[in-house]
Amino acid sequence: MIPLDRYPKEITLRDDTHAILRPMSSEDGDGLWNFLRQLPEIDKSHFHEDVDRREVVERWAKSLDYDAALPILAVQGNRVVGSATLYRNRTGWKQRVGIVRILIDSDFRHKGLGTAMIREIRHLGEKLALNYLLAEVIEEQQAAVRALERMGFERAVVYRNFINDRRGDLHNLVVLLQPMSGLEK
Amino acid sequence: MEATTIDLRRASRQLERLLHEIGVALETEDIPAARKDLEKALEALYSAESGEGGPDALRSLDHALSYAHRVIGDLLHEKGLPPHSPADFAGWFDAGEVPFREDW
Repeated sequence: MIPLDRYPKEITLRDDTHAILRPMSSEDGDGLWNFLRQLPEIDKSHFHEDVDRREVVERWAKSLDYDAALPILAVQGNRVVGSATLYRNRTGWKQRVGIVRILIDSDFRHKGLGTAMIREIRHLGEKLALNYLLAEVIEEQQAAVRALERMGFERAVVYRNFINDRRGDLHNLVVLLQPMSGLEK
Repeated sequence: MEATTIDLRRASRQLERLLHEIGVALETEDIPAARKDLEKALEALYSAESGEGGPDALRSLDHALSYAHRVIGDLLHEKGLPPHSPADFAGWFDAGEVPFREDW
């Protein structure tokens, strides 16, 4: 059972502005599209589909399956300013491993929003009785790597020249893991 | 960084009080990750107290403080309050600099 009763949840950022955290709904297609459009190219590299196509984003919003991918959005008014998605497998050997992807609007970086999103996903991972959270980050995204490490993620491995961005340039991939408390008992 | 035995003992007592207060605040909250971090902070504190002092003890106290900061951050997050700012902490204690910074 996914613990969604804590939403909507209001948080305060470092500049004393507020944001609401809540699961993405089928009505969020426009907000998500506007959010993804302003992201730097490198932040969009990991998507399996072309997020520059509006129909792709709208299809995502219409085909939500929280058991497989739980996207938590940070919104200010109607504007989506961040997203944190927890991907899970229902069966198989990775069913207790949650994959984490966090994206933050360029205007909302360095305000503690990224860290707040990590806290949120960590909380969900604990509540869903996962054994590990796993985050994959391009090495150039140093602020994200530092924030994950500060929140207890540990570098498991760095793959050199392992992934390509959408122009074909190669980048190092940092894989970070965080054990959940149930695993350590 | 150099610290005398008295410095270490005083820091250890302060941290012990801080962790106790954090534990009291956590009792009414359902934040498993924060409970885990508090346990790690206490482990690090006990490690500092049971060792032979010196740099190892200082390192353990530093670890305990880092875990404590994370728990404070979780508590503030749960209550919808602004994130804890290490810079404020440094200003309050007249520290020259802090080795960590929230920047994402």
